[in-house]
Amino acid sequence: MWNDTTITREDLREGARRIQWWELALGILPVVAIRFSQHQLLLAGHSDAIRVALFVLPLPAIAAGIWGMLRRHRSNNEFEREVVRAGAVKGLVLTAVCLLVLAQIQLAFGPGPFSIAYTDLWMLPILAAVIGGATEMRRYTRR
Amino acid sequence: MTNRLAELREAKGWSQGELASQLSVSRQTVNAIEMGRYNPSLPLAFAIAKLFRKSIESIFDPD
Repeated sequence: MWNDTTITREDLREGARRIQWWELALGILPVVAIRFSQHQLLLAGHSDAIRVALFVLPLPAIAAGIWGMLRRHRSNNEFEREVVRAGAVKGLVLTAVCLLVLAQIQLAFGPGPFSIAYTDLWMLPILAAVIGGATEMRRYTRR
Repeated sequence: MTNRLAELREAKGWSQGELASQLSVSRQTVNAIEMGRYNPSLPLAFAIAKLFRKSIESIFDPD
């Protein structure tokens, strides 16, 4: 029987049961497509037509990923939507702060271990939204 | 906002999970409402009131 503690193993099992295999695929596919496209575009030797094709390649995967995220969001109950919304707001602020700090470090000390490539910046808001969502869920459900 | 959800649920002998499945929400939703960290929407408040056969204001108190 579920008890009154914060997030139980049963909650996590229930959450995992709700995730379909194709939803995982829709999450992974855009990342693979973007990384492959970026890797190929960094290489010299491709013709302009191939470069355009490589540029367009991740777009269907990104569209499918966004569709999957929206579908999941619509199937969430009102509390889960509230947590996602609050997490996204927190993630937005976190992204801005991270970018500011990284830029300041780079300006102060030049390119170093904290430098982040322009091509990797898209990961930052996604990571920040995940962290924001997790901390919001913790805030709402802790004892 | 305070509420008597935990008290009413325990009087029925239900776990948070059992109440959650009757309301078609997650257990965390029930937990967050009971802890006073989340205020339910009007439809959910009506569903809770209907389930316990009470008025909304007898369950939720705006303080």
